[in-house]
Amino acid sequence: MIRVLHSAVFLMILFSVSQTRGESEAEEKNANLVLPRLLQEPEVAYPIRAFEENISASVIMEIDIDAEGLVESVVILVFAEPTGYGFDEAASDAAAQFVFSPALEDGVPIPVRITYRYEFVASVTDEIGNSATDILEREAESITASAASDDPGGVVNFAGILREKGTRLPVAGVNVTVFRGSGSLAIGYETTTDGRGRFSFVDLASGTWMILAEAAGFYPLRTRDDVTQGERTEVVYYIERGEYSPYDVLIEEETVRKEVSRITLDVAVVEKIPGTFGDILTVVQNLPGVAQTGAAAGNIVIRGSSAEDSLIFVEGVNVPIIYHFGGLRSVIPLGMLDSLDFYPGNFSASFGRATGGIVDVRLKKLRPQQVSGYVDVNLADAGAYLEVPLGPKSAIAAAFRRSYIDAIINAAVPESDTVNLLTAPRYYDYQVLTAFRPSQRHELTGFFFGSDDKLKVVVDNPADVSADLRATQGETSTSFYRTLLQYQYTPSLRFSNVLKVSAGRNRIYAGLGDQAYLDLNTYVAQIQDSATISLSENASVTLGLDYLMSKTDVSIKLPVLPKEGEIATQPNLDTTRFTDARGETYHSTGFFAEWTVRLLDRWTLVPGIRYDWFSRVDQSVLAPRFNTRLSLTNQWDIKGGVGVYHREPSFDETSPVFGNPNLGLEKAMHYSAGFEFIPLPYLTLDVTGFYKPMTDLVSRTTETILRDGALEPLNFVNGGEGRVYGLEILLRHDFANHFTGWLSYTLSRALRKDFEQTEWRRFDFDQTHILTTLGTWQLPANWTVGFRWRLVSGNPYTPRIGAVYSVDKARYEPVFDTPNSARLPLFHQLDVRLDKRWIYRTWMLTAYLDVQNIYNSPNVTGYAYNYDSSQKRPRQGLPLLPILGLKGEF
Amino acid sequence: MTQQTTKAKKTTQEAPVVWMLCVLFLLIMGCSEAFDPFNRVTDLRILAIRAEPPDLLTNEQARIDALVVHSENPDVSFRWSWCPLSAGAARDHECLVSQEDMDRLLSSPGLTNAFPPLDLGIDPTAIFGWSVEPSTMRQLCEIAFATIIPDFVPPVSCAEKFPILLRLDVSDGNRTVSAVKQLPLLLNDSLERNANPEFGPVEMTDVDGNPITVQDDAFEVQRGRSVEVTVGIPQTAAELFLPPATGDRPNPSVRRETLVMTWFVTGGTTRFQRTGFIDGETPFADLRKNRWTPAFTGKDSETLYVVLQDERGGVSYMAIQAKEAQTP
Repeated sequence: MIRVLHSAVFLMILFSVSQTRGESEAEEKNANLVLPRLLQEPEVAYPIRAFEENISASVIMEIDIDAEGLVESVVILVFAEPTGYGFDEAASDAAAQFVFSPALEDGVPIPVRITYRYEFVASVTDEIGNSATDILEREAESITASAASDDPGGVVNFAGILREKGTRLPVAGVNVTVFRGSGSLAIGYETTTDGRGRFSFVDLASGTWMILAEAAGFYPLRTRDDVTQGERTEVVYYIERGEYSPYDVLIEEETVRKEVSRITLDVAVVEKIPGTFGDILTVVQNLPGVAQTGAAAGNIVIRGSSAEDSLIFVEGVNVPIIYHFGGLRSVIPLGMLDSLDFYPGNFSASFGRATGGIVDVRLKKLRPQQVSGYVDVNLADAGAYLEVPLGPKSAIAAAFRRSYIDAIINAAVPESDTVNLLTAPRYYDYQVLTAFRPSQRHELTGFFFGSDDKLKVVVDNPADVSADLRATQGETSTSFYRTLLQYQYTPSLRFSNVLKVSAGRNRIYAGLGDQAYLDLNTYVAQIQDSATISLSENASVTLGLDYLMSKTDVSIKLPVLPKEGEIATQPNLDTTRFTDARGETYHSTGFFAEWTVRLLDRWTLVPGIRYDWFSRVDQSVLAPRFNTRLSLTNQWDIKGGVGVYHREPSFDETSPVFGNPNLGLEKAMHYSAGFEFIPLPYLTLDVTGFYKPMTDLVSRTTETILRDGALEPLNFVNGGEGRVYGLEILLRHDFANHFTGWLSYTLSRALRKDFEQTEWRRFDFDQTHILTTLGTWQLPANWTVGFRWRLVSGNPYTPRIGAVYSVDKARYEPVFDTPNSARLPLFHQLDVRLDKRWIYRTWMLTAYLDVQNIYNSPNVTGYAYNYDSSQKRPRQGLPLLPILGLKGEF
Repeated sequence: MTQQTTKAKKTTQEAPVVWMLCVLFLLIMGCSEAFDPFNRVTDLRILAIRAEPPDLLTNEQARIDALVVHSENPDVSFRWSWCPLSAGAARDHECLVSQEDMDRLLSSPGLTNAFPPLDLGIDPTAIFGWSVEPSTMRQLCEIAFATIIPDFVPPVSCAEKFPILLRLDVSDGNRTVSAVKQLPLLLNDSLERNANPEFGPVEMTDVDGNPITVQDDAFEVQRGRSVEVTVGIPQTAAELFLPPATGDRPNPSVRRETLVMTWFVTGGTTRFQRTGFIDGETPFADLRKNRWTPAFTGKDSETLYVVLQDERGGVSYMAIQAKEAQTP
């Protein structure tokens, strides 16, 4: 027996209403708003060939519903994959016949636009459903009826396609009228565009005809064309949308939410946030639990954990460098991305090797219907993106971006007496994404990406820079590449498996000639496999393997560099240490299991356990984790979690020369509890309290150890402790009433106790209050305006209390107070962004003005001291900074 | 050696490259007015400490003096001290060994009076000498470093040298300034000795290359005019020596010392604050030359102090005075 299902899910309602939590909430009422409810759904003809070949697909449409609940127009946003089976036509035909209850605002019926997913699910199971005979009969009838209606009984001599202006996407379900004459001689005919935007007329008399295409949400199209009997006239018309919302995107919530703390950001929301240049990783810094680390800090500090305690993934692949030049731009452009999942804590057992948080960037689901792309030009760089369909089952996309800061600097800065830029700062990155989906069951994705940063300076007079500098060249070069192959196998709704294999190389060089350098060359390979098995309607289990291998050639000659919490003195280049190791190979193997159990359709329990073995420290650990969420009502959820997390010390910390090879793992416990409240369909309040004790932290020691008969410094021990606690509040407004945005507030305290110390000290980025509010309004005529305002406690810092002149180094060496004993002033800044989009027939142009720090707040990022530390002045962050950019999309 | 100067008005001149970067990145980085340059001496400063000889074998003594520049108050007081193991710069070079520790450590027969007291006195010059058998000194060195390695102080090889820290605190009644310098105690008499570099005659020209007469370490120049200063330093000042073996260079070859010259001025500006010679990297001639533009702000003479040091602790210094010439 064959079972055919179809399901429909509201995804997002645009214009005046919005909802994001599935169909049940779509029916939800509140004081202001009642969402439309599907009252009448016609029988849907499952495309016969797809049915025979057991192919499933989904079609995503945008449906305009008038104030009476009738469908005015249907536009297909995402076509079915694979193409050619008639899914699009079937879905749009069906949608055109939907009847809804009217949407109500304050009790008054209003027109709305919704996004609607129509799913065609073919299954070989024979448990329930219609008999194959019934369905086949129905399909046959449907096809016959369709064929009959398509047969005009004449010769088509005027046909065309109606496309959306700018995007070139076909528009379905639009009435197209041809007419001519006036008064009693007036004559006209009408038809409706199909799922591919096609329309046709038969046996039109020769001559000029007026054409009118009208659809809700679009400006009416009026034009004229000449038609000749006996000849077929083919046309393409472009109809302009009333507004091109950047938020015409899907925001799908999982049916079952499992995590205590997870925030998903969609790229369309990210792109317009002021001050971030559309950089998805920069936007993370506006979320609760994330410290403000400055414009070029190049790291993400989550819930009081050091940056290296958190991991950044791209589809599960660990990315070694996330920013060009430590914070200028992230290494992956927006075009390749779909969304980002941010876990500030209590993350799943599928993630390991981190004690802080997780950022997992999701790649775009590549299913283009046509060649499209964009070119983006701004102050720092220019980039291009192109995606191309390769037949009905595969597609490819490529992107490239290069900075031109080097060209600007080389042109603007004359040669100096002391320092010349041989290679001014330049970066580029590249990505190629491919997708192959031979059937609904199998999906293959390939992703190749990389990044390269370089800076080289020539120092004509090293002594003038520093008396202990012996090199005349300084160079930094950072590059990496990764190849990811992903195979997703979904034979049934009960089982799915995702296999990911990635390999790549990290190359880091930073050096001052032979005097001091870091030369690191690491080959990395990673294998991840996770299988999800549905045990029953309310229970499933995910089992997984997570293997990571690295092979490193390293040559380091550096002085001792300060760690977190240590005083950042100028490195002493005359006292370097050296190590050279070739082919050092390390393995890290993890296994995990996670169960998802849903009780009484309201209570979700997610116990999990993870086993990890780390060859570098030769230690294995078990990490149990547990998350739970209880839906009290449709508006209230309470949630909580507890878990154990481990992290390997960094490479330098286990180096026999720079560190201690006998170090063990660092450990953190994550406790969190909170609630979610949804007072309005588009408004979510998320409140989470957390407590994170950390033990076995790597901490510096002054002890020595006898190694191979020689007395050497022990450098580090697992003797540090940490304690972080706080409260996070996120009030999120999804796109509704032309507005989207959020307010995020974090109240926290992050402390550390170093080895052999009795007093707790402040963590480097201990920020008591972090308040961020941002929003974007979609205005008429394709204008968009956005703002971001931040108010953050100043970072701790260590004041200087004097200086002693070192004759040997020909410079003053500062004397410091107790580490992190003072705090910088409060930080506050307002950023504003204005976008204007112009729609042309086959492409769109967006100009944007992003003004950072619009009231020129003199934020103090630190203090600059004079040569003997007797005077200091604030070192200020960004002043008022307007940046203009252009983006062309086709 | 002490010198007197008067306070000069601060100016905001910076190196051209910094200004250009400021213009370019003004909106990004927020460049603003800078401090007085490091090499402009306007108040009490210790510019150099010199030990003669710059390294010491057992049973040798070094005479230690300093180049101290002060303002109007000539009543400066000196306090010399030394320390075998200090806590590093961030902690004000706090001495981790007290006089009581030293007395206890040196109470053994043969070690009494092997080192002078940690307090070396209040004279403008100080004397330091030591008299311990190198083998005993190596043992003391190992004991010291087995006990504690202060933050960011690299482990010391006790086989060849033991560096002690000399410290000078100078006070003019209003403020106290401090300077430190390492003095290597040689634990092996076969080691190459270092010598303080020497100066030759100074040559002056104007910016067009016309010579300026230098007499009694003084010359005349008009206000606002620059002078090209060439300090006579023989090439032998950069001594040939065999650097210690390091991990990346286990078999080092003989090379010349790196020399650094710091150009302090009591007024005006210099093209470079420091110049240097690095064997194989920068030419020796670059070490000797600089351009000085005296300002003569509120005074009719200004002084250039040049401090020359080599990478093994050798130091020399000298002074040249510029007097304002009347406009013809």
